[in-house]
Amino acid sequence: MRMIIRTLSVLLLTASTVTVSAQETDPPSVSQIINDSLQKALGPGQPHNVPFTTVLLALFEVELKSANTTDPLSAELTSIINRQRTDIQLGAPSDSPHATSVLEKPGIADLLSLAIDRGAITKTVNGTGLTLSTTPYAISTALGQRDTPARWQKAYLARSLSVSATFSSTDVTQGDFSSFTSGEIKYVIFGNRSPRDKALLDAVRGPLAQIFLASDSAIDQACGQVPVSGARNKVNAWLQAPDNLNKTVEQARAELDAQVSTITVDPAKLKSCVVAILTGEQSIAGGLDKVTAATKDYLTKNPLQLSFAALFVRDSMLSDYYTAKLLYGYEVAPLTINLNAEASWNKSSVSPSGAPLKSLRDYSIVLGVNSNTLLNGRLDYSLSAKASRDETMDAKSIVLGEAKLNLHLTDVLRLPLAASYANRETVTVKQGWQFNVGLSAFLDDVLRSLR
Amino acid sequence: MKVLGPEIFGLDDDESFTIHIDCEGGAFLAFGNVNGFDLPFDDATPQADVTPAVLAGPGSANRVHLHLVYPQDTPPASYRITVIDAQNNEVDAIDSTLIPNRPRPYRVDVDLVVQVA
Repeated sequence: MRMIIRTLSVLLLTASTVTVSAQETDPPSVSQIINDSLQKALGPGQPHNVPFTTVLLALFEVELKSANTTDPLSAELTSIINRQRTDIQLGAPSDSPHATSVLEKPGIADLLSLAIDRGAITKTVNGTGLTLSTTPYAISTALGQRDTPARWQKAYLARSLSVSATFSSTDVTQGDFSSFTSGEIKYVIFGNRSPRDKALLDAVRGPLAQIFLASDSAIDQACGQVPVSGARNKVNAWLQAPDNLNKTVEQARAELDAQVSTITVDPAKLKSCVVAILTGEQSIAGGLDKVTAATKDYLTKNPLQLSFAALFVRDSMLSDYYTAKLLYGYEVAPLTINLNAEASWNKSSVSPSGAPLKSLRDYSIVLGVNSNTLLNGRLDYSLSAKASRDETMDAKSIVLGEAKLNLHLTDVLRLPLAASYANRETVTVKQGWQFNVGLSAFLDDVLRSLR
Repeated sequence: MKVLGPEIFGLDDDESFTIHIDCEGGAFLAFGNVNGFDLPFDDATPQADVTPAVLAGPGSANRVHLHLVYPQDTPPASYRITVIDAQNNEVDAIDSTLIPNRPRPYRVDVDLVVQVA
């Protein structure tokens, strides 16, 4: 028996080494797969159930005795759809007092985003701005509507509209809305790039279905003759007993080992079964590469984005004002080219000091390029230039340039670092270099998990 | 259709049943197959019929493999698998809920064993 086990170990090690060379990733260990399955079975509020393959692998491990428990679980599906996205405006809208971006992007978050911007390109305010963005669709689901894929597909208007508000932390001195500094409504006319989009999911679904089908068929063929159903049913009955609902993974693991250790099975059949399971795990893990490829293909085939935005800004120095924006984006991999046109109008015809103001405050054209995500989705960058004509008092034309680096700290948190330069001073814009930082949270995942 | 144990069902040799998968709070990425036949699930048609044509015949134990994927960007908050017999009765239901602190994308595998009399 020991000889057989050693042979199996060598075979598995050899197979694993080949895989490591080919994919530069660690193979799944038997222990990790079992622990993963048990963790799923013992998740909070879940019905406890151990899958068929877990029992098979536990049986193999009992036979093997010498399982390596330090290898990581099957290669994580690391290329993620969201990391491919660089089209979402999370920070303060451009032209708002706390804006740290010259370039505003046409995309919106599905549910909720939050951003803190420190520093500003304009000189009307100082301090920190907090921007919250959401959609009517998110509000409706918060009020009790079920958030199902079918409803999301039908709610075209509610999910294409984004509402954002920026609040200034330095202005909160009264119990009113004095901290509100700007609000924006944005409508995505073309180019909804949400990963919920049916076109994207359909492109992903086909390749993944084939991988699952091939893996399952191989496991059925290799494991069909290994008798484990009885053990699985005993373990599941143990997991579902009221006294065992709060057991740990380790306790469940001990029960699993105790149950399967009583089973006898032909080692050759067991070995080929385990190889089929491990191979299937690796092929499924590698399937995410197809998801990434499909995402990039989807973006390539849907290069156009066009949005319209209306912004209201409080400005105590001159006059509150309105801005209309047309935001255009076009994907030319590996870059997205953005072209925005903006115009602002003063709400008042006279400044607080009594100076007359023109109705048209300013107008501008912004051209920018944004990279796709780099370093496995950990950063992206953008370069942009804005030509603006200030009509407020003394008409001046200025050019603003900006270089920006977005560090994706986690899948939720992003840290934008920006340097901007203005070639001259106007009533509202500082001349010279400005350095701006922020912190953006793409809260769709967090909000979803809190429900 | 009879429930014989946890996710184990007994069928007569000419009997069909339906699997329905509900998804809430995110993208629908559920997959299924039995005996090499794909069971196509998507958000537009979240259910599939398992007919005698795809089952192995009298005396067989057929394993229906279901995979519920939680993608990274818009993971569903939950999936719910419902097994419905030929008379449209709900025979069994299995829930799978998003575990926030797990790395994603991850998947939950559910095997339904169907024994044909």
